[in-house]
Amino acid sequence: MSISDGISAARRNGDLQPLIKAVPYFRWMGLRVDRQGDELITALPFQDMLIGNPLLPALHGGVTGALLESAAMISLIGAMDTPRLPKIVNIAVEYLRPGGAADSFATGIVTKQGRRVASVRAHAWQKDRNKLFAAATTHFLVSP
Amino acid sequence: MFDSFIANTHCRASMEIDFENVRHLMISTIPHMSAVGLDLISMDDSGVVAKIPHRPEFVGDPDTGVVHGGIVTVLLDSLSGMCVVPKLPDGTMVATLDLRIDYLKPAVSGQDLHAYAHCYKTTRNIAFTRAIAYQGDVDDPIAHASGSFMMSSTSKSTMKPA
Repeated sequence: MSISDGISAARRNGDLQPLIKAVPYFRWMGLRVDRQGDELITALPFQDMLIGNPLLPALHGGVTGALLESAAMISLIGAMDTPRLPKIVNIAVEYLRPGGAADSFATGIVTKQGRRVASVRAHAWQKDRNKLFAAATTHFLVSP
Repeated sequence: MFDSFIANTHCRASMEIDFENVRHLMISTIPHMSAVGLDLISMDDSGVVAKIPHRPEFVGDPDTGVVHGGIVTVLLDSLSGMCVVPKLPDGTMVATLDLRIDYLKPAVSGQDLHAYAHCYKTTRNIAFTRAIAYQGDVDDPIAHASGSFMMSSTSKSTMKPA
């Protein structure tokens, strides 16, 4: 399935799993997407290979960044009305506390959707949604 | 193992280290660096160079075959943290405070990803870094990163995971 088919299917029936399956990197990381009310929650089930600091242990900071970027993009796709994949322009990740060896979740809030650029804030948490372990500010190009 | 990686890395500041040993320890002790196949190319006071060889499972856009930003983030975050270590006293660990990445141009599909990172300033508590990711040409980067790292004096940080 192509990306635009996946995005169209997601828009048609609200199921984002085909889109996840269409992206090799999402499959490799084991990402899942669940709709909770109006929100799209991107889940990253824990695996040993996600560890960046085996002493704590803690998730690799790049994994945390990748989760936030993916969640921001997925929430933006859910809010957009074109079957185009948004292109990341930049991401600024704040590491608030180490991500532990546990399942992680993230979601994006589209703070501004313009004609060409969208701004998305992303939050990531583990056991307690009110205790974020990382957050990010992102910008995406939404038209060529 | 991880402690000895840090200890070995530290030696670089003052003496020649067994570079192959550091390269091997990094892969064998840090699961995610091993998972992405991160390969250290050089490391000294002036900076760190490494690459992530291309793999089909890293693709973020199957229509174009371009690598996902997450892999670029993993490479830039890893190197930005590593380039701080030779600048620190023994036993100091670093934790990322923030990392900003600008994507300057699309990656070319099917090509290995390289990056270079250096630490341009350290204070008592914070280290500041710059890094670029590139494919063929170091003067035509695909991404630029600036990071800040907090230093902690013990290997077991007092910060609790989420």
